[in-house]
Amino acid sequence: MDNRKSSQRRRFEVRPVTLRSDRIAAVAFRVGGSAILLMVFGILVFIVVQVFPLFQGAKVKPLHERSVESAGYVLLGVDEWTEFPFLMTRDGDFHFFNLNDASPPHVLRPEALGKASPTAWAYHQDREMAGLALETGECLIQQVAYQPEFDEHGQREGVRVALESVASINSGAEGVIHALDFDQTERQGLLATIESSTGGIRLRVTSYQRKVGLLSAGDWQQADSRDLTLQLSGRPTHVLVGGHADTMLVADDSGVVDVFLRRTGGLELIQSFRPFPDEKIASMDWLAGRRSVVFGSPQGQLKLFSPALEEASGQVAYDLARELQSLPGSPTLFAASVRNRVFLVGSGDSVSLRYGTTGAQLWRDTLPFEPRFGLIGSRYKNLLFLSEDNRLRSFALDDPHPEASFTGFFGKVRYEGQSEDRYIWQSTGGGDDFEPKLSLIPLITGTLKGTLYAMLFAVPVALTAALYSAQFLTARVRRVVKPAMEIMASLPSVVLGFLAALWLAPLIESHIPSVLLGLVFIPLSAVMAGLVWHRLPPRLRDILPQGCEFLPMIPLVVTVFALGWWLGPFAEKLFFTVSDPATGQSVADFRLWWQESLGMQFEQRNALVVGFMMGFAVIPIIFTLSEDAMANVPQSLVSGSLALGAGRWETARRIVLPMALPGIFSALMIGLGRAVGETMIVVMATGNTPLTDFNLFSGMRTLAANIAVELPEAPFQGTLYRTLFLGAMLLFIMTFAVNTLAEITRERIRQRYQSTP
Amino acid sequence: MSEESTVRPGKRSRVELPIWLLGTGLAVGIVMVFLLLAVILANGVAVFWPRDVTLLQLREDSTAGPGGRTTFGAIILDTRAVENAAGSENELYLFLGSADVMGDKFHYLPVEEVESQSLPSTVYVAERTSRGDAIMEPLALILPSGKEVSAEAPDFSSRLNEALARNEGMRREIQHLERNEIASLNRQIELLRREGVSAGASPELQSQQHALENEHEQLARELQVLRHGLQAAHLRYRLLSGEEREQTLGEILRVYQPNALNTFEKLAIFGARFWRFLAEDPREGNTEGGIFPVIVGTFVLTLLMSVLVMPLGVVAAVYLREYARPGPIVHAVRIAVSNLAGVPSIVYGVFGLGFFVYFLGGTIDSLFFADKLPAPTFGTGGILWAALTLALLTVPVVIVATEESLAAFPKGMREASLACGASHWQTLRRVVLPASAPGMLTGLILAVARAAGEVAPLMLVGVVAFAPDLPFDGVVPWFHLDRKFMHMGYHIYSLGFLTPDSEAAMPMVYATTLLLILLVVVLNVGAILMRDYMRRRYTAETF
Repeated sequence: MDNRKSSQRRRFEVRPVTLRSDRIAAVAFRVGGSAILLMVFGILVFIVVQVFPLFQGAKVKPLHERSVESAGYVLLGVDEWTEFPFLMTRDGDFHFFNLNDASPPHVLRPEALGKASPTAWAYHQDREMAGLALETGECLIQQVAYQPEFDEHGQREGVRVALESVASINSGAEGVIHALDFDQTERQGLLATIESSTGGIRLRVTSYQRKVGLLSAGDWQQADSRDLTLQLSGRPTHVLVGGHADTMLVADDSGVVDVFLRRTGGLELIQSFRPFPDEKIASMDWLAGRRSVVFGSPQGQLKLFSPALEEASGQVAYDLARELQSLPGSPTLFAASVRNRVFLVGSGDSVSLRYGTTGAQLWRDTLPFEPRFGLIGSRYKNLLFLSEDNRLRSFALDDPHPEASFTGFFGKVRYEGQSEDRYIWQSTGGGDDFEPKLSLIPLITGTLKGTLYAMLFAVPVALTAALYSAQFLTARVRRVVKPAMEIMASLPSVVLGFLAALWLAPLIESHIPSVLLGLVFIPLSAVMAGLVWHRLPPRLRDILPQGCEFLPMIPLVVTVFALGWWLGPFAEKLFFTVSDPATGQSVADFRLWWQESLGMQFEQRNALVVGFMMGFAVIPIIFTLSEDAMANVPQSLVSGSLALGAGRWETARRIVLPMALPGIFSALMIGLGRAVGETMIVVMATGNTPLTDFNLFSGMRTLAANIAVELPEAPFQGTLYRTLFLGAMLLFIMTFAVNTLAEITRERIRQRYQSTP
Repeated sequence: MSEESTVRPGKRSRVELPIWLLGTGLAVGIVMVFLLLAVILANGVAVFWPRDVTLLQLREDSTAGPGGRTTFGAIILDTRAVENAAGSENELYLFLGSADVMGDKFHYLPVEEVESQSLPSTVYVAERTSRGDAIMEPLALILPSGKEVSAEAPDFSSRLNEALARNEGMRREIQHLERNEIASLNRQIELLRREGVSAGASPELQSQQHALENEHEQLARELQVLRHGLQAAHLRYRLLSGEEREQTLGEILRVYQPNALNTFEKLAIFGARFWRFLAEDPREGNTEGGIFPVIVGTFVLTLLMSVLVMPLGVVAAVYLREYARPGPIVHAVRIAVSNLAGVPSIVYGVFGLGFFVYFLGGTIDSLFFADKLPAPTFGTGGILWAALTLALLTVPVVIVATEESLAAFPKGMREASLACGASHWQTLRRVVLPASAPGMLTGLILAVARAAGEVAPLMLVGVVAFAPDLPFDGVVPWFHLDRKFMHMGYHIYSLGFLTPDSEAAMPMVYATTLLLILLVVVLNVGAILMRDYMRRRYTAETF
């Protein structure tokens, strides 16, 4: 009895298994679902995290510190790893210090120096070469040879140092040299000295050269030596030699800088300028590559000058590239990085790291000591200072992306060798001193250009087709037409791109007038067809039921386009004839005409082709979405309008279009998003040249195509890699914003339809 | 105003010009779709159709022929108008074949240069392993015994085909040996070697290694014999331009006489060629042969992606629709998910490269494959990462489709199930989910269609132009998720744009395009039909 009762009760009880599984399912779906959604949105987070380091400044942390004997050091140099710096004493002894301990220095002395003391000195960190001037007027060029030693595991154990004589040049100076600079390539060198003698302060230039065979190089031979003092307007104070040993810059005490260039007949004065109109020059130093130069004024102003080819004269001339943020006082410290365009500059204890090209300040600090000398480590991983209290201090420098800055990405920048500020994307190039140019503006312009032409073509076709399909087609025809257009959406973009580049582009390249004629003829034919149709007697018109107007238009469109195609060459002869000034022959060629008459580029793979093929990708999207929006306009409104005697077109224009406008807008936005992110069509159907124009017949490079082309080759987590991530982030945000706008609009109309029955 | 109301019935008096303009828009759209499909279809089909060979006789003083020849055989691919200074003239675009003799496989020839052309029925086309087809007349078959069978002999044709078929068999055997037996041996030897490195050499290991190496030698000898067999017989033939050549039969795959074939025979060859296109490996830098590894790569990638995306999409959609508390947050998430579908695919590729390949792959490598570093195993693009990237790319599509079908599920049925005492999970599992299955399937089909056509993200995460090793084979562990793979979309891109001999690659590009379009269109039509079916079903079943 009891048993039965309880089983009766149990019958209505929920089995624990059911409850448990229900609970488990709920938990599983909650956790799993939110995890998946988080993961999907994590994409943006991940990309932002990758981009973030680009905009971080440099981080500088103290590393080692040791004291040195105060022996009146005049020169600081260091090895590649910033472990064994050397200091040169006034006597010409090189003291090599180990930064890791306080051991006494290892002392070396250039053999050629003998007992003499140098009177002037210069050190080139990029080649690890020092130039020393003697009282005799002789100049020694010494290689500070750091040779790393490896243990049996291939680990670097230490460094062996040696001083090797490279060349000994007699400058022919009569007085005491107090400043010198030199530069040399594989075959030639140039040495400039400033001496003070009884005849005053003189500037002297000596060129030297050597023969280089396949296996060995000969000794340096002195070529000639000249006194150039007379060509200067004042007394020389600073001298720089650079630009592959063919450029010399001399600053004099009146604040004028004279530029000399090596020509076949020797050095020639090509330019004189005043970097600071009312001030003298306190410092003058090369940036990496020895072409651009930074001037400092006694007041602490800093200016970057770069050589550029002047188009008018065809001459190279130094020109102000950028004014840099001023220092609190006269610059006392300057060191250029050998890896990039960063330089270390300071006045007193206030020092900063700047990026030359963009002028960005990467790091700025007031040091707890007064630096006498400073260097940027050759690997751009360290800073090294000798302070006034005779301590060597090394710092760890963490700045993986010095060339990245907001100005560099979005602003106009004058790069070395250019005569004006420009937006340039050129991420890789030959040569060690190549500077990546990472302006995103050409890519953004390219993206907008591609999108613009695609939309120009797609919007009229898609919207007219959608309105026609939604309002005038009979339901039966519509059921066939709509899926046909939707299949168009599924055509892979690689197929469209391939057809654009290898079928369409060569096909229309020589038939541009034909294509233009066709584009004009098609709408004209529609108007003509309409006019003719309405002149026909009603009996004839009844053959074609309403809503089938598009059927006769299909063959008509084809015929009219063919007609335009056929007439194209005649139009070309009429309008696009160019005469060749050389031969006097006139040629009817649109391509030439475009280039000659308008001065614009013509490429086979151009924006017209891209616009057309991208139209293929965009038309079905806009068509489907806006057709839905138009078909969803409440039938009661349409019927009401028709019942009141409005015509089909009037109803469409006055009732359907205004009601569907938000939906159409949202369709356009989504189409726009697709065009912005389209990759393969652009990669294939354009020349991928980063341009900043809107020329219909030139190519472009879009953000998306840029990523596809460059990311596979970009070094992991390098500046280019992160910059491409930045491009991806821009794309993500652009399309996401546009789509959200579209979605919100759609939401709105959905609510509106619900409230107006 | 009064005019408005005096419209006479039965007569459409108003000129509705704009309607004609609208109709034109639709017409243009339809013309464009069909034009594009027609171009692909025509060019794609033409690749497999055996075309007639023309014997061209040029004017005696003509120098426009290939290498100055005035008599030669060619397949006329196209006649096109070319504009030059003197006006326009017609040019023949010819396929010559035999790049070894002719210098180039293709040739352009002004029509005026041709004096006469004929279609000799005796001409053969030989498909060769390299340097393009040969257009020729056979002279004799030289058997391995040294005996010659003249082309005039009555049994020449059958003997030639017999020899070719025998070669085909040997080629298959070689392929089998190389692909399966030797690859598996190599892997075992590699495993032993690594064991030897980590555990030190023991005599046992050494004897194992010896055994394997012996086996390897044995197989190598077998291969040698087979390869030798391929070289045994020779064919002597004369090109239509007169040059005589002798070639080992191993370099000739098959022969046919295009001009002597009737339509049905041509159709048979068409079918056979199409089949070989599907089933064979590519040759000659992908410009000849088939695209079997490409199809397999696409298929495995898509399959892997489907396996990954389905649970992700369905769980997320069920959570959003059934478990998450409706409110502004869920609403915002829903909008955001549908917007993700509009984010450019290249962005997903960038994410895939940064996260899957470098981050996940790099971590896996340093944990499990440290002995192979710095050569990456998973730390480089591969089919697994590509599938994951595509899964992320398509998960919004599946979520949206699943959610839609869940939302469309009639409320009455759900309430009926709950009223019968079923729990939420039971209702979901037994009633709602099965009924929504077609919707999910639609989402999956759309996702697959998108994945099959997507190229840009794949370029970043592991697709390559040539990867003869399939993602799965007979070597343990059978599935190699770290392998690079080939893909139809990328195949089109690399063939059309990265191949040095892009002219020769053109037919393959069109053929691959045709196949890809067929695949994508079939999938999309499937999705559309499924959608319609679903709509009808629900309207019928609503209470």
